[in-house]
Amino acid sequence: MKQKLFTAAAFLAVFAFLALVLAAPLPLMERSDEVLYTQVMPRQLAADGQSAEARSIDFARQLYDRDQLLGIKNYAGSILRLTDEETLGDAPYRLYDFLGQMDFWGEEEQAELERQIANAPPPWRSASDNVGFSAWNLSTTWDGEHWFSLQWELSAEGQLVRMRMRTPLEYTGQDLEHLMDEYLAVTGLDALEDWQAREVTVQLAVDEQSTAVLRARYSTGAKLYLYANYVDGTLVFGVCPLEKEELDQLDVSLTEK
Amino acid sequence: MKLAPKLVLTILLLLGILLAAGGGWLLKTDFERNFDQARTRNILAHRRDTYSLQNGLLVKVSDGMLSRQAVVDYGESLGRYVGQEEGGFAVYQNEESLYSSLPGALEEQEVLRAIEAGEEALLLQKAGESSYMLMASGVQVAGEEYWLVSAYDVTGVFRAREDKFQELFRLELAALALAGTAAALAVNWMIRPLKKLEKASRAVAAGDYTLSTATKSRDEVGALSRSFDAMTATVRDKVDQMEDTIQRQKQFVAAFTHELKTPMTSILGYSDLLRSGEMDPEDQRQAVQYIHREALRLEMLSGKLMQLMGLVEQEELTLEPVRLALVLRDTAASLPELAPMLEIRCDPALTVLADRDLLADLVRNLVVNAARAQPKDDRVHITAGRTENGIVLRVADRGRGIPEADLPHITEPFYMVDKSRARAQNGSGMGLALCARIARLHGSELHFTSKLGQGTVVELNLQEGTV
Repeated sequence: MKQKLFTAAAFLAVFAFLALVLAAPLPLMERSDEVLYTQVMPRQLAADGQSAEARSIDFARQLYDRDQLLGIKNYAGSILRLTDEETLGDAPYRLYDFLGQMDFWGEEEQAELERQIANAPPPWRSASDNVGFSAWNLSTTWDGEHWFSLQWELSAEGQLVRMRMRTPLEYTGQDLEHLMDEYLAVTGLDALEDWQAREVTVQLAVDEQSTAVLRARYSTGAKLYLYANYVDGTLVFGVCPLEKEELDQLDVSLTEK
Repeated sequence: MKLAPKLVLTILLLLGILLAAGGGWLLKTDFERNFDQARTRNILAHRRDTYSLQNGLLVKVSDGMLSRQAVVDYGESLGRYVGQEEGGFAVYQNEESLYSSLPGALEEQEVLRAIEAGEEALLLQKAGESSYMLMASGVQVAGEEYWLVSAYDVTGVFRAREDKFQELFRLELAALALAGTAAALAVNWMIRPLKKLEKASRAVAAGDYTLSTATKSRDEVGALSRSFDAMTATVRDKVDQMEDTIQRQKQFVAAFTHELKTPMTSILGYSDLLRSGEMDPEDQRQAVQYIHREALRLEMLSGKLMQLMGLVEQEELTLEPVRLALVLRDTAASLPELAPMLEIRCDPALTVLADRDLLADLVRNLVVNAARAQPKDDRVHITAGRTENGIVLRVADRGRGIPEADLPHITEPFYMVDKSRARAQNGSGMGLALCARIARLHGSELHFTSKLGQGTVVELNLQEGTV
């Protein structure tokens, strides 16, 4: 009898101990939470994929951050979202201001640009506001089958991100190299010393009879891709953020895209 | 406490501690992982919101100036874009809130504390039942400094941990209940041989040596059970032997007492007659003769008994090569009255390893017994020959023979097939007992073959020796 009572008491004691042991995480969690609620935890400001040199250039940083944070890659020809007509406002003049700073941009180009903007019928104008950047798309010329469009995107600080324009002028590879040099100088991206020329392959979508001059450069530190293409009377140039891995996979011309 | 509950409790304790430690570790790592994920996600979201505010406000700058209303308006539009389901944000300038979609439960001083902590800090704040991560970042637009303070609801991370704890607690309890039941069954099964052993031990303690545990398991408990069974079997044999010895000793004492009493009764009877003095000289002479004869019997009995006791005490003999023919000749010489009956056939070259005197005693006793069997041909045949088992000495007679039922007992002390005739022939019942003991000391046994009315053959194997 005494032994049975002792055994029962031992079982009760063990069960009580086990209940305490199993419930032990509760007070430990509360203690840990108290520390969490009272301490100031460190926070990493940015996952710096760019070099310090690139981060020091506002435009380069802005482009890269937009790509990283908002996931927007503004390749030429990207789909634009319609916004109010009034957002057009002084947009052409801001574009003129930027282009006017480039030695490459002559009077003929400027006259053609102004003509296209002036002739663009209002229903075919569209614009989009991508946090810190504004893009415009104007349908300017009808060739009997489809409209040719004039597209450009500017940062809030008036830097041209990209531009696509139908032009009667013809450009050589040397012209495009000059265009890129001027673009880098105006945007301040020429401060980056690691720009390297890239071979751009003409893709199947471009006819054999077409005139296609493609030029591109890449900055590893800033992870920016600079391009200037002239294909069958259309001039396209601009800059976009691109990871090295993406660049390796990119063997299509931006014109085709 | 018995062994089974002890083992079960130990298993439960160890398992409980292991489960608690494992569960605690799981909760901790799971919570830390979820918290880190939430922190990474929210830091990214805050960076995104800061970027949006910075660049969104830049667009609103006209003539290099940014109006207060423009900031409020952009805050609202950004608020719609970001969404307020998991917290909210506020835009501050000079510790004054321009726009806020922060949860009402969050006090302003906590928001200001986040601004004070700076751009590289993250605070965790409890507001009501909810928990928020607070982060603040400065935004410079048109020469003005603004602060974006974001609050992200991380209550789910803590709630998930509590839910997991409750789930784990229930699982651990169920696991312990199952493990306890399984352990109780397993332990009971494992200690079953021990229970049997205990039962058998009690039986042995109560004097019952017949119980066996009969365990088949090959573990230590099984080995212990088998050892116990072997031990009880040995003890049982020893006890049987002891009981047998005691029984034989009782029988010996009874036989000895009887053998002592018979001559003593005769001596006492005749001495009483002599004391009465009423006997004629012839009767007196006969009474004295009786007394003398019985005294001689007693002397002979005590002599043989002493010899047997001496042989019983003796563990082994020093055996020497002895020519068997010489032993048989000595025997014949020591029994002159029986010499005419003896017919001895023995190769004179046969040599055996023996104690010569004892072997002669053995043969003498066998010859006397054979002669007392009243052989029809008045002959006692003694033969010796070589076999593959050594030298066989054979003493045979064609006398009355021994009943089969008596054969197993004839080497017991004081055992006599026909007591009255044996006594009449001056037998003591000690002769064959002495012979058996001598044979055993020679590393052999006596083999009796007998048929009633036809005679008896006694055989003894001896080791061959070389002179």
